[in-house]
Amino acid sequence: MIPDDALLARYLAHECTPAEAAAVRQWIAADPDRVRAVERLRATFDAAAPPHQRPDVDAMWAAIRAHHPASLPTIRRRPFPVTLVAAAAVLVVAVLVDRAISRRSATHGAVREIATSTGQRATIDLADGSRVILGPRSRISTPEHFGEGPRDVTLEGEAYFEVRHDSTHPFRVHAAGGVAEDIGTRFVVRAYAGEPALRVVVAEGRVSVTRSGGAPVALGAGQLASFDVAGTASVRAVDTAAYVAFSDGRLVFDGTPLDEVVSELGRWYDLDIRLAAPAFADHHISASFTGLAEDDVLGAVAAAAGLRYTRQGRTVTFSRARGIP
Amino acid sequence: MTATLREHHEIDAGDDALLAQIRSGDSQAFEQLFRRYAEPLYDCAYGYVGSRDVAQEVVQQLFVTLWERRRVWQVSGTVVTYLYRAVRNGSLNALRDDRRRVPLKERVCEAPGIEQELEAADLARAVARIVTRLPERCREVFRLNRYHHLTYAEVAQVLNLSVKTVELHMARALRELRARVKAD
Repeated sequence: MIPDDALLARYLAHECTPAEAAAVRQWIAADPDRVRAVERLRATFDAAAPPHQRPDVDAMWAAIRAHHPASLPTIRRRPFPVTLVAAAAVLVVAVLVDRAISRRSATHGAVREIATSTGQRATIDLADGSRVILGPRSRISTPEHFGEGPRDVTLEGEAYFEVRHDSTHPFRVHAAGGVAEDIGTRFVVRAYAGEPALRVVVAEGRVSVTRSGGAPVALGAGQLASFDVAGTASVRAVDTAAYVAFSDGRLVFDGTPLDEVVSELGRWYDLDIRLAAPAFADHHISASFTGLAEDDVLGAVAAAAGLRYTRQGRTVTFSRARGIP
Repeated sequence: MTATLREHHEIDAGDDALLAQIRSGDSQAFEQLFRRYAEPLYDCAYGYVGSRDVAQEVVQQLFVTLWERRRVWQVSGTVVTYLYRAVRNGSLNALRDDRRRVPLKERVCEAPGIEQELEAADLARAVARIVTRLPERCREVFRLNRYHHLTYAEVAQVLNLSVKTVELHMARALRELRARVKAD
């Protein structure tokens, strides 16, 4: 057998069947000149690509991330900077006029605490590269030297987490008697007083939630778990965008009951909002607001619910629209 | 040293698992995929465009688009062949967008004296120069198989050729190398 160039090339590229390879080897071995010739060819086939300039992989990743700032993780190693942003563009004025933005970042012993008031959000870059966006009227505490041991934070209110996963230092959020533990992920934990005790929504990755005395509940992307005061969990699939929206200053409702909507609006705009009849709570609202004045938002919500609102100072009442029995 | 995909690929099986995580929006899985393939894909792009900046841009743009389309991302074949195919398309587009940019290696290949460069240290360079003289398709096949360690079947998938055609291109490359790399 005399191998043709295609077979020889396959032989050198290790693409032959064992039988073909054996036949080629036999042919080569029969003549010392062939041995030399094939070895030379093998050297040319196996020659590595000549070196050229190496890429800067970190710079490339930074450029990719810059295209998707909202969804791709940022790696920041700054020691705990805090920025406060008003909930909505128009609200900036109201907040500045009504009360100076109070940035409360206090250190109590080994614990750091950050709190927001009405209409504020706080973006917190933790030392481990994780990021927390704290919703309005919320409070978060972290150990002073965060990231050196287990990463435990305590939350009241609502926060969005983008966690740098590190299985040797689990990231745990303690809220309303429950613990949400990240398994590499983006998620929202909500534990406002007066609402279902604890709610966790997972946008990416996995989270395990445990209420004291209960079995862990494993959540994947797109799932919401809510725990009632008794600690009973219910899990359902949701459009996570609505729950994560607050982290970039949008107020989004996705079939949210009206009573939850009004308490949310109250937190964002510092309003005392009442429903004239408890039954109004059964209205479900789907809407998205960015940078709207409070009266525009109130008007839109009222219209969506088929109600009207009246306002005296900071007290707002939703009631039945005139002419509708 | 040129990074090759195969080295990374064999150490880290589990591209498909990564892909599933990326589809569900897992940005860390996405970063992992990027870091796994950034260098080999850069090398491939560099082979086409001959410029560090342009090769980096091609790979960046590929991953920017991947993330944008993560929910609708369909991989025909394997992740490896998909990525190579995409980086090749991106490189060809980049070349078309800038006709003035003549790949460095294309110019170098006109230099005489290839036959004399037979010192072991120069063999790689000599082979590379011969390869740049091959017809375009033949050159692509050779590089993907020899420099990036893709199998014939994978090369066929990346370039949308039959395996038989890949074989014929490799035979052609072998003939050229045999004829031009003379005995010392």
